[in-house]
This record gives sequence, C-alpha cells and structure tokens, in this order.
Amino acid sequence: MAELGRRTTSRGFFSIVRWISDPTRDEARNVAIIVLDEAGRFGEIRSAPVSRLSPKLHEQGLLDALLVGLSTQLESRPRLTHSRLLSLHGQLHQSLQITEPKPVALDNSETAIDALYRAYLAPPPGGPRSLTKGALLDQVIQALRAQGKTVQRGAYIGDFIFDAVLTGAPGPTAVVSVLSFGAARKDWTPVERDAGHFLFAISDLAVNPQAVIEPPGPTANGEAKRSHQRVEGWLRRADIPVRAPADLKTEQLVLT
Amino acid sequence: MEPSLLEALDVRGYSAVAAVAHDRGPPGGSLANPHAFVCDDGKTYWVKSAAQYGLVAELVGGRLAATARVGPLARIVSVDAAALPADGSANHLQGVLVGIEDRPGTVNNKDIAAILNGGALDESRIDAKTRGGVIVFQTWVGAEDSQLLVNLTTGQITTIDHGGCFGAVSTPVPPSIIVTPIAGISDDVGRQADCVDTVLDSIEAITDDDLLKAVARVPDEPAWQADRARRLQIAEWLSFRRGQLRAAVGKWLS
Repeated sequence: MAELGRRTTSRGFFSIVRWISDPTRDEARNVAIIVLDEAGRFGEIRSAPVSRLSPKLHEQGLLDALLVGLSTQLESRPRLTHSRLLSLHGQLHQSLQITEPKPVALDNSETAIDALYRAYLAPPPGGPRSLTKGALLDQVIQALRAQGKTVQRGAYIGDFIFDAVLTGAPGPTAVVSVLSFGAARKDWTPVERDAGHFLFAISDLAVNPQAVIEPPGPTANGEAKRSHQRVEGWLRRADIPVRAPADLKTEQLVLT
Repeated sequence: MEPSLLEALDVRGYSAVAAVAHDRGPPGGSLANPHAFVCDDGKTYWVKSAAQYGLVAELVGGRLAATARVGPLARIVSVDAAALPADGSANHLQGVLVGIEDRPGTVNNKDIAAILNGGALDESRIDAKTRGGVIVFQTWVGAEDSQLLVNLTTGQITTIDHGGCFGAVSTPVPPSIIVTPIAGISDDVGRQADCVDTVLDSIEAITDDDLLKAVARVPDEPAWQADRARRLQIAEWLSFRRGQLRAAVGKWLS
C-alpha cells in the first residue's frame, strides 16, 4: 500500500536555547529553537514570547537582547554554522545554555521549525492568553521590529527603566510605556504606579514618549475602568500620545 | 463484514506523520527499544519497529484507545535517515513504523513497583473511573502483557502497548476480564458500575464501519503483519466481542 504524498528529506541540525533564571536551582526553561541546514544556507531561530519566560522587566530585557544577538548571527554572513553551534553548546553552562545540536529532517524547513516549536516551546493547549502587560509588550516589540525599528526591551536611560526604547533614529530617543487594563486583577495600583514612574522619568529626560494602552474589556469591573480613565487623564494632560493595541495591526504605531 | 468495504477504504493509501527529530531513547528495561521522535504535527511519538502480533496490533489498539478516550493515539510514522540520532542508537527505526503519542508526566505500571520499593501509592489518589475504563478496554481488545500508564499528578490511568493484542483472531472468543495490576493498588479500584459505564457506552457506539476504518489504510511491509484478510479478521473479532463485553463486565461487577 502506498503512502500519501511521500516526501524526500534533507538533514539539518537543531538546538534548544535554555534559560536558567536561578542557577542554584538548575531549573531550565526552553526559550528558543535554532534550526540550521547541513549546507549552511538556511538558519532560523524561533523564540517563545519573552513575557512567558520571566515576569521581570529587567530579565525580559536581558533575554530579549540575547535572542536578538543570536538572531543577528543567523541573518549575518558568515552565518551561524553547525560547528559554531557546537562550540556555543560547549561554552554556555550558566544562565544560558544551548543544547548539543541534534539532527533534524528538513523535508520542509517551516514545517520542521513549527513542529519543534510546538513540541518544545508552545504552551499547553488552553484558552486564549490573557493580555497582560508582558503579553502586550511582546506584541508592541514585535510590531516595532516588523517596521524595521531597533528596539530594546526593559532598558534603562539614566536612572529610569522603560518598557521599550527605540534607538538608532535621529532626534530624541523614543520611549514607550505599555499598560494593560485588559487582564483580570484585583489591585490596579501597580499599573498606576507604573504610569507614574513613566511620567516622572520623561519629565527628567529629553525623550520622545508614547504609550500603548489596552483598555478594560466589556466585563471589567468598575475599579479597572476608573483606574484606566485616571491613567489616560494623566497621559493626556502630559501631552503623551496614547495608542491602542489595535493600531499595531494597522501599523499606525509610528515612532520617530 | 464485507471484504470489499475494507478494500475500498484501503484504496486511498495510508497517511503517515513524518519524524522530524529524535527526542529521547527508550525507557529503562524496555524490550521493544522504542525511541521518541518529534513529528511534523508537533507531537512526540514513541516509535516501535516490532510488536508481538505485528505493528498493525499496536496501530489498531491505539486508534481504538483514542476513540474510546482511554489511551494515546497510535499513528503511522515515517522515519527518514535524516531524523535519526548520529550515534546510531535508533537506526533500527528507519522506515514506516508505528508511533504512540507521548504522555508526559506518566509512569508505566511496571516501573511503579521499582519506584515504590515495597511502599504503596495512596489508593484514593488513583482515578477510579479511568482505571475502570482501561479494564473495560483491555478486556475488549484482549490485551496480552497488558500495560498502563499512571499520571502521578492527576491519578488518571491510560492503556498503552497493544502489540500483544489480536494474536488469535481466526475464531472469535468471548472476552474475559483483564485487570492490569498497579503496585500497591487493589484490583477492585474501578470495579463499580459508574467507573465502567462511560467506556462501555463508547465502545458500543463504535460501529462495524468504524472498526473497518480502524483496521484500514495500513502499510503492508512484513513487520506490520497486516494483510487484508487478517485485518478483516481483527475487525470481525472485535465486533463479536463488542457484543459480549457488557455481559462480561457485568459478571465481573456482580
């Protein structure tokens, strides 16, 4: 009996990038998958949303920077090779680890990466993910990079940490505050403090500020709606442009 | 059952998932030497190249276990040389073989005794409904060398390893109860009507057409022991036993 759609296959290699937040506990989390073909013509990294890997903004910034660095190595020439991947596996033993490259069948590179991502990185099936600040920040960073912007996540300028900092463009450095009222929580004061920190920071720095805010959903309680109105009022009075996440999809989040 | 119906189903050929990468080697003590592979549907399967009564037994048992919601799905897995580990440890798995979907967080009943070292699991932590369902299913398919997995977090039980099923299918025989032991757990856990009814209903809802689909579209390499006549016998054997199952289970409950 014949198999439907029999395929031909070439060999490549893959490694899993693992992050150990606390080396004394040795609890590693899978962060990204790197796939290379044997001939060195193809290489891709696919990472889990950074907000899922750590709740801490500063740690998210470090991880994001490491992943961007690896991604650059896959895009630049000479490209990351099997021997370089093997060498990284040998070198990295602490917070960041890269597993020994293992063979992967590259019948179709996209299918192979999708399969490895689902097997090693994707969250267990469940309902839709709540739009927390971290999840919203993932979307903002992704949208800005898709527009070709150079973005640092969780980066300091002077004494102040910002959710996103855009570098490389002329004029004052653009900074973004990301606030979500779209996820369930009992206490909204941390979000208000977050906004207050942003407002104080920009008053002390020569930067170009902008905010992305997820408004409360239709079933949100009154406290969420009051807190959202309060924060939007502060930002409006400070003349800070506020965008909605929907603007990300229509590429209206233009920062200079 | 009409042989022509099975022939008509077979005309479409079989579909397989393709192994993308080797995930891990066999569990300690496994004679079948299965290895886990990530496949192109993003799931991980334990791939086997041999089974007591042919790979068809493992495949059909797994297809039916998934239908009755008592165990992981089995699929045909195509393993290309490009997906094999470099150390040669899984070279015996190149080809078109059978794979059983991985169930993370579970322990084989054979390993539990070794882990407990004379101790016992808390019986109340075992999910009696899933235990009862597995007893019903393994009784139906006549599982020789029956095995099961215990989820140590939820206490749920699932059936696995159906390579020892369908050894003698030329003459239908009524089912007799198969209770796979779990170290330190009474064989009576799951021996209640409300623990067996759901799976009995599920099995009785499997029609003869469903049984033909379960045995259809299978590779014909020798390791599969899957010529059409044998597969038809398996379907007829299961059909006969399906009609006898409630009585056999009822007798065990009383």
